Amino acid sequence: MGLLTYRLLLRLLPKAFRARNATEMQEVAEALLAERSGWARVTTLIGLYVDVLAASVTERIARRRRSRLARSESGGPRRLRGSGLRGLISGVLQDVRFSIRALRRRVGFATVTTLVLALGIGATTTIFTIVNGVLLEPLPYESPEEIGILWHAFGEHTGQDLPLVNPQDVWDYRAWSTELADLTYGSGREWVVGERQDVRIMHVGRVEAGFFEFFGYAAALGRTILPSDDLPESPPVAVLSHPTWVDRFGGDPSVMGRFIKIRGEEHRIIGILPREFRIDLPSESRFLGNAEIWIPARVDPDYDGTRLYTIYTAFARLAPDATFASAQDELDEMTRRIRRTDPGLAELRARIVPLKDDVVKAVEPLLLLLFAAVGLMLVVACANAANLLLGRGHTRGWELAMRTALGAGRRRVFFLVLTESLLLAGAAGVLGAASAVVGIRVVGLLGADSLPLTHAISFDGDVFLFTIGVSLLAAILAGLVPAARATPGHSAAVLAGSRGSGPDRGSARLRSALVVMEVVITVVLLVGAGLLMRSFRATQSVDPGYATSGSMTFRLALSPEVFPDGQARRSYFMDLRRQLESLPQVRSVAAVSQLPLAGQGYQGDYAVDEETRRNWGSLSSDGRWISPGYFETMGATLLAGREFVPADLADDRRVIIIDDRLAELAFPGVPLTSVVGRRIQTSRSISPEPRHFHEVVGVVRHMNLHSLTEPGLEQMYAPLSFSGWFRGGDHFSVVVRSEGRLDGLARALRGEVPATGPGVALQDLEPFSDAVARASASARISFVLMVLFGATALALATIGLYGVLGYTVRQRTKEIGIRIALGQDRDEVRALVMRQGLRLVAFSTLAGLVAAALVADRASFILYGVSPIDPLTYVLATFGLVVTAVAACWLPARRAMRVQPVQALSVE
Amino acid sequence: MKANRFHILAALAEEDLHGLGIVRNVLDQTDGSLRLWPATLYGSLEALAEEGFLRELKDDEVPRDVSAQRRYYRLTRKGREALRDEANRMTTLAAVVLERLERA
Repeated sequence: MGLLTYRLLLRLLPKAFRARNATEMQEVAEALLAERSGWARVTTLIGLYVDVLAASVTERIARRRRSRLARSESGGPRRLRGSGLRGLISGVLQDVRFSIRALRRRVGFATVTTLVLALGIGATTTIFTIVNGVLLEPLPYESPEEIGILWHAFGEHTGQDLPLVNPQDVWDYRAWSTELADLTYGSGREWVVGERQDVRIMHVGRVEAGFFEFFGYAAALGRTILPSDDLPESPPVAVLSHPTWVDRFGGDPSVMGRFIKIRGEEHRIIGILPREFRIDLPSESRFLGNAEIWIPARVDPDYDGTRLYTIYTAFARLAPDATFASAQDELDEMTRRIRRTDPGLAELRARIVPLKDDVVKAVEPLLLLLFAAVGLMLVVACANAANLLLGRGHTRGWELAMRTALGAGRRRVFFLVLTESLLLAGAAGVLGAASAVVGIRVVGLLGADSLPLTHAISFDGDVFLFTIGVSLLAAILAGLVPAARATPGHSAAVLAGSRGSGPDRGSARLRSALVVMEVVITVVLLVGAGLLMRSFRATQSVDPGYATSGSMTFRLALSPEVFPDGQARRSYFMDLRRQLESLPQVRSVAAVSQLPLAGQGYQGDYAVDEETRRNWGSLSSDGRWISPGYFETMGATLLAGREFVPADLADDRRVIIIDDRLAELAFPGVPLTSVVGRRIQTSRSISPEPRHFHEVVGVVRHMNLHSLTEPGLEQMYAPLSFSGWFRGGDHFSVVVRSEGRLDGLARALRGEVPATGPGVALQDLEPFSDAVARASASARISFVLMVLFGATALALATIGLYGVLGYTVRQRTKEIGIRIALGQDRDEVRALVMRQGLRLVAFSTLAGLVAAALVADRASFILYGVSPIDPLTYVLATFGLVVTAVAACWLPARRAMRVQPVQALSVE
Repeated sequence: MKANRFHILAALAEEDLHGLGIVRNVLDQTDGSLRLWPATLYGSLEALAEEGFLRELKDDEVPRDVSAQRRYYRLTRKGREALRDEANRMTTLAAVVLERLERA
């Protein structure tokens, strides 16, 4: 077996060298192998193969040099080039110069081929730029591969399978662990920062001392948070993020030591973080985020409250020699001890996940799929360019034959043709790189900014190298076949003028094979595009429980100095509501602690019976605080009972509205109208009193709060009392349902709201549909890009098919002329050509459909609401392909039909 | 001089050999550490012959008892000199290095 391969490989050697040495080389090879078995035999075989492959190149170079030396010594033809490397370079340059001259004469051909390749290279580079930035670049931390993020899961119905822990968990892990070298934790909140007239809602990070150092960062200016800052009684300090420092303080170093009010409390600015510092997290991390200001968490070291309260995201760094697997084993051991501390933790499961994996997990399959798709499109583009070059190879046949006749070697012609494709691919690479820069912008416009790590996407050195690599690959893919074909074996026949006498069978078959490949890939891409489009439409047509358009939303910060208590804020909002509802464009106005699809949120535990009361924490719900009229304004459906009324906003009213899922869970089988008036325990107590209960006054249809398609937890809605920071005491969101067009409304709101008083700051004014669009960004990006790739592949395949048939008709003009002269019907001639084209299409479409089904089945996890073998998609893809294919066949077929016998026979 | 070429010439210093003989001889003289791969071997032999360091024996020079299938090679005067020069160069070099090691 091994020696057989060796014998085959020997054919790669220059013919003369092989003739002289092959027999003895085999003998030596056999001798070298004879004493060896097992592994040694394998390595020897590899050595033998490599040896032949290397010699196939070096012997050619050596032979060329020798023959030239011989020629010059024997006074033969003058050497045209130097020897050695200089000779090689000057030879290449000559090839390049010649190719440029040749291409200049055929501008049309050069332009089309370059554009086809640029399309493939540009698209591939665009997607690679994203893949590189998001998946390949490491996170910008010290030894980022050692950093893991901790997940705690509490069990079904708790809603806790999140990267959230309690500080006590971190303290325990730190004390017990040997596999983890270091841990740290942090959380965050949206809080009002500033005072009096100048307030703003900011994301405030609350982190443990040493948090930044854990990631390998020190302050750019001043210092970060020290352990002495991180105690309950420590004086409050704050560290500014670099953007906040620049945007809010003009980058002025004298801010150090100044005070800034956060939630009405003075914090001394002690440091500025470096520009590069940012924290990237999985979307499930609800509280910690890329904060604008960082303050110490100041958790009491003696804190021993329930560990069910989890708002901190914890990170761990592996000890030397530890792995994520060994850390996980240890974690399993440690959680066993934590489970005993609280009945609600009986099902606690902890996981440690490499941070990078966790951040990109949501987009990784999608990006890889797009990368594969764009790679396929590149192959189609290359096949197309190869087809164009092959067609040109035919017209160049005479020129190449002449060169051969004049003494150009096989290798020389081979490289001349390859040089041409290299030049074309080089130009295409430049164009492709330029279009990738634009392409990344376009992908950004589709909403890529809402995907993780998009800030790391840039056209950097890696991408540049990739572009060069892809261009080379394209040149080889597109040029190798034509180059191999172009080396003439029968130059005499070509020069003798046998051209045009009949189809060049080999070349035609090759070009047909290329078209088959193009069509197969195109079918796969079209089906993919169709499935993703259907999938996207499915996500759009899911009813999330609220209206996704027709309203504007904004956030409102109220200055704590101007609006000191709940009463003041409540009456401000009720006035604002009246004022806005009097605008002609406005139908209704409502406030909510946090909008749907706006990320982090509050979860509240509850009990429905004796058992859940004992195992407090085993039932959890998403909690939102809302003003009267919220459901109407959001377009939600009230199933029973009533909305809140202004009187419910008073602090002591213990009323809630629950969703139908919670109603079903808490009161199974009870009609919704009878659920109204029942009570639900909402705070922890084994022997509950009335103050631990809320009375249900309404039941609303469930709303998907965290994503458009995932239902999430059961829900409770309580009256927004404007006191306490969850309940709108600090800031809240406002929804305005419009009567008509939104742009006029936006202008009106921007004018009206700040004018309602000093100490009022309006932020993040946008149509609610923008938040909806962000939530479906990845589905939209994938389907739009896939449609683009599919359409491009279809166009390329159509051109390819047209080219092949046109070529055949040209080749067979004489034959067709004879057929017509002998009385064959012209319609039959047309059918003959059509049949040839459609046979190709039918075969390759069938193959493509099978391939598509196999691929779709593998990738079905990224589909939503559509089967991977959705018949409609497959029918439409086939239909689209066949229609364009018929069109591509029609033109050449018509040309064949119109062949004039006299002309055809005089083609010579 | 490249190691391959040196060892091929060295193998031929004592006796005329065919390709496989050279491979075996080189394996011996390097304690099995230098394996001459076939394509490299015949490539080098052709190059060395062309440069006049060795020559292929004519049929009538080949010892009678071996098959005529195999080509035998013999060092030329030029090859012998080049080999001696190289060996001398290596000896001098080795002496210098050893001396340095002594002094250190």
